[in-house]
Amino acid sequence: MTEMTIPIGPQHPLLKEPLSIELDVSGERVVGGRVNIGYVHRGIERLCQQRTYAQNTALVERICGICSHAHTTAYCQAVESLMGLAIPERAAYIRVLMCELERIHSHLLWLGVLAEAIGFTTIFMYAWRDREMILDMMEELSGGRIAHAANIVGGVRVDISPEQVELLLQRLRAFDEQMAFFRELIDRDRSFHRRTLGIGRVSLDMVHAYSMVGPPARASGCDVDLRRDAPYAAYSSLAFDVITADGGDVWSRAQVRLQETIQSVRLCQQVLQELPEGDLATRAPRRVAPGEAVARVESPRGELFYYVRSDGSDRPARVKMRTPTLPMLLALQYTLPGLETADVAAVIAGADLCIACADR
Amino acid sequence: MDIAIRLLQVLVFPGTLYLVAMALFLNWVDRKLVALWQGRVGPPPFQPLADLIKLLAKEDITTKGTPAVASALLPIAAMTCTMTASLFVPVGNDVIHSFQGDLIVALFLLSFPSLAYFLAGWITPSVYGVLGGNRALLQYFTYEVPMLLGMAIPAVYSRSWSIMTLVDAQHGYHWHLFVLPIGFVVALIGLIGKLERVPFDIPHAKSEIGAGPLTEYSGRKLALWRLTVMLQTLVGINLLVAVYLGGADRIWLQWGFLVYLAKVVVLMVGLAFIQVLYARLRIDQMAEIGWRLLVPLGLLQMVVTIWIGG
Amino acid sequence: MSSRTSRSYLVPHLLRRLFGKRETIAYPAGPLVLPEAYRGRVTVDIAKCTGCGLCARDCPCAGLEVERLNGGGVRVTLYHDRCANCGLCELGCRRGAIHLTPRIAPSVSDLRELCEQWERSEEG
Repeated sequence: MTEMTIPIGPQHPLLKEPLSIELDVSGERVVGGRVNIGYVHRGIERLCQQRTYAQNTALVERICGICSHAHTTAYCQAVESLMGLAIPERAAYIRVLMCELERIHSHLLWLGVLAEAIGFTTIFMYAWRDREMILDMMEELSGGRIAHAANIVGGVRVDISPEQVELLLQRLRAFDEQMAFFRELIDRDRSFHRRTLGIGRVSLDMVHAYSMVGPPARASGCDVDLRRDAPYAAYSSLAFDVITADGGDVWSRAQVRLQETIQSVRLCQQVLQELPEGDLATRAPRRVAPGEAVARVESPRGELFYYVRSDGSDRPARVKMRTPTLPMLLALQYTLPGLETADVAAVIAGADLCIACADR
Repeated sequence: MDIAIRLLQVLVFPGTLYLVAMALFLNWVDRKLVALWQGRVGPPPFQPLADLIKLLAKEDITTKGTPAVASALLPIAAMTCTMTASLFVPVGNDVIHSFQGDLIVALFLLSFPSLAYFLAGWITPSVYGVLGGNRALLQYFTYEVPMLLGMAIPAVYSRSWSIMTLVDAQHGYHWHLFVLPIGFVVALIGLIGKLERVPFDIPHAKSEIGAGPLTEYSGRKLALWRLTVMLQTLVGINLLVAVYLGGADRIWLQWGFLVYLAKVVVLMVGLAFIQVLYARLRIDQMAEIGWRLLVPLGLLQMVVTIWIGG
Repeated sequence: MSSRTSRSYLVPHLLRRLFGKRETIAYPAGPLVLPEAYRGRVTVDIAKCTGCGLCARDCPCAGLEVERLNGGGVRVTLYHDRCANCGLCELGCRRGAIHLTPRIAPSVSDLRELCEQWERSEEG
C-alpha cells in the first residue's frame, strides 16, 4: 500500500479559504490528519481595541463575508448590553430579517460549494443563481450584497418602506418555489446520495465532546438552537421550527440546512408582515462605563459568542469572539481518519467551514 | 502523384489539420452547451484555440525530480498514437487506410494515450501527480474492457474486423445501434470512462487532487496534453459513429460528410448532457459500475450476438 | 430516498435553462444597474459642509481629512483606496453633506488619483 501525505491547502482548488490539512493516506484510505489554521489571521480582536465602539461595527462586519451580519448583531448586542440600551422593536425586527436573509444565502452558498466538491457543477451553478435572488434583495435593502452595514450600536441603519415590503414578499414567494428543486435534489438524486449518504458520520457523543454547534450538531441529533433557546432580537415573537436530523453524515447536514432555509423564508415573511412602526435606533453614548457583557447569536454556522469589556473610555478594552467553526475544525481532525480519500472533499465541503471567522 | 495525394490526406483532410480543427470545434460545442444548460453564456467559438495559444506562450517548467526527456516525450507519444489510430477511422466517406483488422489496430493504438497519461503523473514528484496517476491507471483498466467489448460486438455481428466494412454493412439504416443497443450503451459508457469525463473524471478531480497527473505540466507540454485529450474525444466519437451509427451511410460526397458531421455533433451533445446530469463518482463506485454492470452487460450482448448469428 | 429514476427532476430544469435567459450580466459590455441604496462611491456636497469633522472622526479607516481653512473655508480630503464603504461617515454627518452614491469608484493606474478633494472658500 502506498503511504503518502497529501497536502490539502493552504492553496487547493477544494478550499475557499486558506486552511492546511495534511492527510496521511494509505492507498485510498485516510489514516491520519492534521488541521492547521492561522493563514487569514488579521488580529481583529486587537484592532477592535484601537477603534471606538461605533467604528468597530464596520471592522467586525468584515471578519467574514457570509456571517457578517451575525457578527455585527452579536457585537452590537454585547455593547448595547454594556450600555444598558434597549433597541426599538422595529430595529429588532429588521435585524431578524437581515439575519435570516443571510442564513439563506449562506446555506445556498454552502450547497453550491458542496456540489462543486463532489463534481456536480450544475448544482453549484443553480444554487448560486438562486442565491443571487437573495443577494439582490439585500443589496436593495442595505446597499451591499454581503457587507450590509445594517447594524449600528443602538439599532439599525436601514429602513424598509411599504413598497419594499410588498416587493420582498413577492420575491420570497418566487424564491420559495425554487427551493422545491433543491428539496428534490437532496431527496432523490442518486449520484448526490452516493457521495454524501453515510459519509463523515458524527455521533452525538462527539458533538458533546467537541462542543459542536449549529447545523452539524443538529444533524447529529443535538436539539439546540439559540433562536429558540436563548432568543435575541425579535425571535421570541416569531414562530419557526428547529430542524434536527439523526444521521450525522453529510447528507443529514444538507437536509438540515435546506430545511432551515425554508424556515428562514417563513421567518422573513413573518417579519415583513408584522413589521412594527417605530424608530430605527436609540442614541448610543460615546463613552461606556466599565463593565463586561456577553452576547450569543445563532449565525448560519452555529453559535457565535461575543464578549466585550469596557474600561470607561470610548474604545473597548477587550473584544473576544468564539466562532462556530472552531469546534467544527477540531471535530474535523478526528472525523478524517477512516475515510476514503475521495470522501475527504465531501466532508470538508460539507462541514461548512468559515476559516476567516475561525482565524479572525 | 499518389504519394502527394496520400500526403495531402494525412496532413490536411481527413488528417491532421481537419482533426485538430474538428477537435477544437467539438470542445467548444461541449463547453458552450454545458454553460447554456447551467444558465451561463459560455465561451465564444475560438476559445479552445485561444486557450491553446495562451498555453504555448507560457513558461514550460519541468519540476525538479521529473525526468525531463520522459515528460517531454509522453505527450508527443500520446498524440502520435491518437493521430495514427485516426488513420483507420473513417471521416465521412473517406478513410486514409483500411484493411482487415484495422479496428483492432486502432483500439490498440488508442490505449497508449491512457497509459501515457498515467505515466505522466507517475514520474512527477508531486503527490497529486502520483495519486492521479494511480487513479488513472485503475480507471484505464476498468473502462478499457467495456469499451473494447462494446467495439468488438458489431465486428462479431457483421463478421469483419475492418472498420470500413462495418460501415458498409450498416448501409441503408441497418445501423448496429438498432440491432445491438446494449452494446452501444456499453461502448458509450466505456468511452466516457476512457476519456475521463464526468461522472468518471476522478483522475483529475479538481476538488481533490488538483489536476491529477497533469498537475506539474505547464506551457507547451500542457498544451499538447490538452490537444491530445480533445483529439482522443474526437477519435473515440468517430469510432463510435463508424461502428454503431453507420458513419456517413455511404451517401454521396458532401451530403455524406454532413450526415457524418451531424452524428458526431449529436454524440458530443449526448456526452455534454451526461456531464451536466451527474456528480463525480468515487473510484470504488466507478470500479463497481465498470465491473459489475458494464462488463456483464457487454458479455451478455456478445453472447446474444453470437447466438443470433448475423 | 426513492429508487425511482433520479434524473427526472433535473432534466426539465436543464431544458428550461437552455432556452431561458442567461444569468450572466454582460458588464462592461452591457449596463450595470445598481439600486438607489447601494453604498458605492463617497461624494461630498461641500456647500453643506460646516467642517465639523464628525465624518472623519467616525471613519474606521482614517480615509477622511477635514480642515478648516483661513477665511472660513473648508477642505475635505477623501482617500478612495482606504474607503470601505461602511457608511459611518454618512450616518455621522448632521447636515447630509457626505453620502454614498450608487456608483462604483473607478480603477486608476495612479494611486494619487484615488485621493479626492473638495474645497469651499468661504462660510456659506
